[in-house]
Amino acid sequence: MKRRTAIKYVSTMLGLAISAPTLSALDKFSEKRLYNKGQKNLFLTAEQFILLGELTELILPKTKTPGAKEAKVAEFIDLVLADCYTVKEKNIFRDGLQNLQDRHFLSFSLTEQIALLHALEDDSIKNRKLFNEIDFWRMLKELTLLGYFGSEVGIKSCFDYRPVPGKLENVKWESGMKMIAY
Amino acid sequence: MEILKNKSNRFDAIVIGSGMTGGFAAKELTEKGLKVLVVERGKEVKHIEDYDTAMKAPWEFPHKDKLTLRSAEERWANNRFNNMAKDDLEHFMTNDKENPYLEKRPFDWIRAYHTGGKSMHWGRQSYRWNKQDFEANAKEGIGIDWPIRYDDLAPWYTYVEKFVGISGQAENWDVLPDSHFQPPMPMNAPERYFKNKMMEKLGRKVTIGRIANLTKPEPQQLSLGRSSCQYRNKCARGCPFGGYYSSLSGALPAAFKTGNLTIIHDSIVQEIIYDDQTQKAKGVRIINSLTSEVMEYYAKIIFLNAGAMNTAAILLNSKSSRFPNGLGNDSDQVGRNVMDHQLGVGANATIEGFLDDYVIGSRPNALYIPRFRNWGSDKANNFSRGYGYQGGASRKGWSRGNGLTGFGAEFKDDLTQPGEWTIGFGGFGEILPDSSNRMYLDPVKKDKWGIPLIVFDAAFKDNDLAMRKDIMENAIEMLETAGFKQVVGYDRKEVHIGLGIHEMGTARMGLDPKSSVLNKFNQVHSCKNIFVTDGAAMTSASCVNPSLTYMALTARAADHAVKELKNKMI
Repeated sequence: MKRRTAIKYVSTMLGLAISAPTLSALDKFSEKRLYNKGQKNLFLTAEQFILLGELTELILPKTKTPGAKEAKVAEFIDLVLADCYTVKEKNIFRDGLQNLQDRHFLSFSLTEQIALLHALEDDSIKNRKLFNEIDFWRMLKELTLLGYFGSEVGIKSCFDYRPVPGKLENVKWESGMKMIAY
Repeated sequence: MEILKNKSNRFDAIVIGSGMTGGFAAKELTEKGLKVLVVERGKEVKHIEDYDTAMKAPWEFPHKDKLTLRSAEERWANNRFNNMAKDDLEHFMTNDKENPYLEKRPFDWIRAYHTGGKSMHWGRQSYRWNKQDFEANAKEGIGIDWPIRYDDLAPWYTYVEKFVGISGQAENWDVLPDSHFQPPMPMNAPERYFKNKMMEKLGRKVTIGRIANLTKPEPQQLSLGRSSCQYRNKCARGCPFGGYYSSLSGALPAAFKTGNLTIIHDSIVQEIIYDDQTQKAKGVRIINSLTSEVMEYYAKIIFLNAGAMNTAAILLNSKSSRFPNGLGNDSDQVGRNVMDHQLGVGANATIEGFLDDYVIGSRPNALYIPRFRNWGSDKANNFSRGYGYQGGASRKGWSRGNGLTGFGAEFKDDLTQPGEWTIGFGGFGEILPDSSNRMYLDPVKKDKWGIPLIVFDAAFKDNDLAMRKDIMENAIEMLETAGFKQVVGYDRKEVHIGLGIHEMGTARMGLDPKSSVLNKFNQVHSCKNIFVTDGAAMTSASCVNPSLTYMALTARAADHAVKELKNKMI
């Protein structure tokens, strides 16, 4: 499917009810959500959290290295939203998720989901007035990258982790080498 | 670190502050046989043992590179420096909310109240001043003349360098005198290209940064348990290898070895006690920051090394019938002539090619481009003095993904490969002394220990602003001349004086007691058993990083102090 067609298709999907299996999954997850137990200020609802997990996996999917879900990127984003973002920033993120929830994002096919995210990115670039202006897409992408490439799963699978290099040496880059993380 | 309990409250010397210069004063005085008390206002940090984040992996910091709202609120000033108080450093940076200051005009005051102070977190760039730096005030009629010249300090530079350990390349340049060096760190491939282009096209000098990280430790460092830099580039968290110099890794352990050092923590010096009869300082009155208990300690000499701003504040708060405006403040110069270095202005670019070049190890160092403006035949038409640049080249990592369009499998796998090279330089500019740039004590408002709050009233002047513009324009020109792409200059408007964290000038040295606070040996003119050898003593600022000069002044003053004591002159 061409991208333009996909977006058009996606937009006609708006208003569809969320599927019964998805709802059931959400309920199950609410019970299972035990990470950071006892911490009161986590930000997202269970439904938003599931949606966020899928979004991060679309941005950084499992390839020859693990994807964002395995690196628990959504948990990181939830923590950062709670602890680091102002109310205004939190609201931008929440509204962005709500918008996708309203459009029943999770009921779309993978192709449709990808197309919608491309549309989000296009809008983000088009509507950006200042170079550092934040919007939902930028926050989501930035936090996904930071959460993944800053995680143990991400660092150890993608890079050559050397906490104590012990030397400083100019070398030639050869195929098969991994970037070093410190 | 062993704390020796002195039974009495009498010592030969009291050193106020345990940071870059307080630590060095303690080392010098104890090694010369004096019983020394170091008074540190902050909490105790033990070398290695208390570097609790030093060996943590990136994923062990829950918020990674993000600043928490709590830190932003509590460390409101410290976080003006690139959101410094993140998960890895927050607990080492001063809680500004608990230790407030006032801004008549904005001042970016970065503080680390603990053993070793900011020497634990410093940038480690270490440069000698040149001959002109000591003579320019007199020649240009700016501020007052220095009471010393380069040759007075040269042997003390060497002395300090041999102890501290400075890595760098000898160049034999007048503008940047060589130190006693350990081997230089290497430049990477695009940096070598840049260095050659600058000399070829602009006749401009480039050298590798001169830095207080060990590359070939000498016996003086090895005997303190220090070893070579491991190229982790996490220095600010404290180095378990003692790879870089700090008061914690160097001076304080050396002082403890003598058996002559006592150090107390959580002890805020409220004032220096002046004795009208002897016309000398006789000790200090401290407030325990945890219990609010007040104590007095007495000594023959006092080294005041609290950091330029707190040093001046202590003098101003030490009032007596002889000194109603603050100890040693007959000239009304205490707290004036606040200086710093320009920061937050420069340019960045991307580099085409060199894609088969890579570096193993994370270099905690940069390139250095020494001052060229108003040097030799180069004359700037709208400002005096000059600036140096620090910066370098590196390959982009995964974070470049934030600036790229796209996402998904291919996007992700691309980000695990090195990106193109990027290069950038920021200027460090000399700020001129100006008596209207000042700090003083608020007449009413006090902190929770009843000590008056510091008020800052300083800002960049015309000369500083003209220089900033030139710093950006020349950075752009250099990068374009080298043939680099996407050259973008920047001049961060939110930067205030102070952000260079090279605060100085508030109790300047000079020949004339009418216009200065300290004499040529850093003694308070009117109370000669008080020595001030931190940034407060500086009569002008140069444009090079100042800590090496502070330490050289400290060692020289300590030598003089002990001679004067022996000769019963103080």
